[in-house]
Amino acid sequence: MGLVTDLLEHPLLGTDSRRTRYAIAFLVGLVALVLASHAGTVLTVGGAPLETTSQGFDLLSAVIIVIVVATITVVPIAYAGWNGGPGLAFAIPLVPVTLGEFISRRYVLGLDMMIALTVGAVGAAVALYATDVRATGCFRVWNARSIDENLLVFVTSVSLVASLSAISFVRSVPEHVFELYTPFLVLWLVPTVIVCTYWGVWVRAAVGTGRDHRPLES
Amino acid sequence: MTGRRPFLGKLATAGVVTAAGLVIVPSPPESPATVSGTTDESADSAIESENTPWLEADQPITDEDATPIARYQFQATKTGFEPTAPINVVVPLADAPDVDLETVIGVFEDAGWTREFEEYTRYAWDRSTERYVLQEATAAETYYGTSGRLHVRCWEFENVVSIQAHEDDAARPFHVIDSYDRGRRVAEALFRANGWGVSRAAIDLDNAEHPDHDGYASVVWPTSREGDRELDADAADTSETGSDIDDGPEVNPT
Repeated sequence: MGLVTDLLEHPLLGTDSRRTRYAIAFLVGLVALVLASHAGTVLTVGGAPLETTSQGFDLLSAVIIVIVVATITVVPIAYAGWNGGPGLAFAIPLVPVTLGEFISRRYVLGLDMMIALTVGAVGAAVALYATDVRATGCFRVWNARSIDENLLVFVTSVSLVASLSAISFVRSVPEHVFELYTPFLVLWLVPTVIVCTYWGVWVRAAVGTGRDHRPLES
Repeated sequence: MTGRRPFLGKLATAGVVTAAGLVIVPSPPESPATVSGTTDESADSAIESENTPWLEADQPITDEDATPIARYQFQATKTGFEPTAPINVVVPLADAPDVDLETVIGVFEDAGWTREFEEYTRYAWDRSTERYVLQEATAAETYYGTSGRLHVRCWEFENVVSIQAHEDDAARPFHVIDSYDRGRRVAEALFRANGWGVSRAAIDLDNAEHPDHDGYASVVWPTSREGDRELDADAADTSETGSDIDDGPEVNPT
């Protein structure tokens, strides 16, 4: 239990372990819903597909699509603002998308996954900033405290992975798919601005203090 | 801020994480370059078939029982079945014994579409058994269609595959059909890219629907079939028929 508790309290997952638990419970529930819906298409009752036995499966599909679309596009950013946690904010949209890829027994960078990576990168960057805002109580966080290099390096890594994937994606997908992704391009401003700003502050601090001065991170 | 050595260690770790991430993230699907939604109508082929005389009928097909073609897909409701979207691509297989429904849906699968995904449950009327039949083969570009997707449902009745092809919009909150025409054009392009014959808007199914379906279905067939390889410029004229879009409902649940 100690390991789990420590994990739940890790700043990559969130600043408040209770909220982190809520987010993980939400993801577990969503996974269960998607699996239940898939079971309706593959299981049979008396030779008839399970999904034909009740209109509830049609409703279930509709509900899942609504929840998943929100999970891919809105929830990561909302969670980041609510509880920080760049790691979980990045993972939230990828969970349902990756599950879908496994169910369909393929693994490609489709539009759903590209959007999930994009929003995940945004969520991670917002979580980095939100964590500092919650810790310092002010929005100009770089004036109030030092930078958590672990979180910054993590957010930089996932932003790089997502952005390089986006470049590969837009260069290879058909025109109509690119058009569907176009509205999400503007989101790249968020991680770009936040990550560049944080590294700018880090460089200024490094130049100003020298590299081997006392640790400043909290 | 940490010392130089620990920080360089973090950077090295970040490099490994980044490299691992790039390896884990999959590649985009390999779709044929023709899947742009545009159609070269000059390449349409003439339809000839002894086994499918209804393909050349002058009169519109207005009854689900008139031919093996399903004219609509249906949604099950508490009071019965209600049509939700028109069939807009038809694949006659009577002259192609080696081709079946799996071959037809395989064209979409080969384009990187998925066969298993989250979708609504729909049916089509089978006149031979006099019952509504659950979608027999489906394909879509993505599992959820977060920002929209191309999506097809297929049924095979009496050696004829009826396809409902459309483009979903982004789910806000439910998927609504954005375009039947783009779905049909992309389906045509995919079949043509695979060497199939295509005759655009060749059959009048009298099922025009908002927002952009003209009531006609394109006919697609494997070119291994005898007697239908010759090009006929007149076939392109059939594409001029469709502008009588009716004032149907603005929202078509997919």
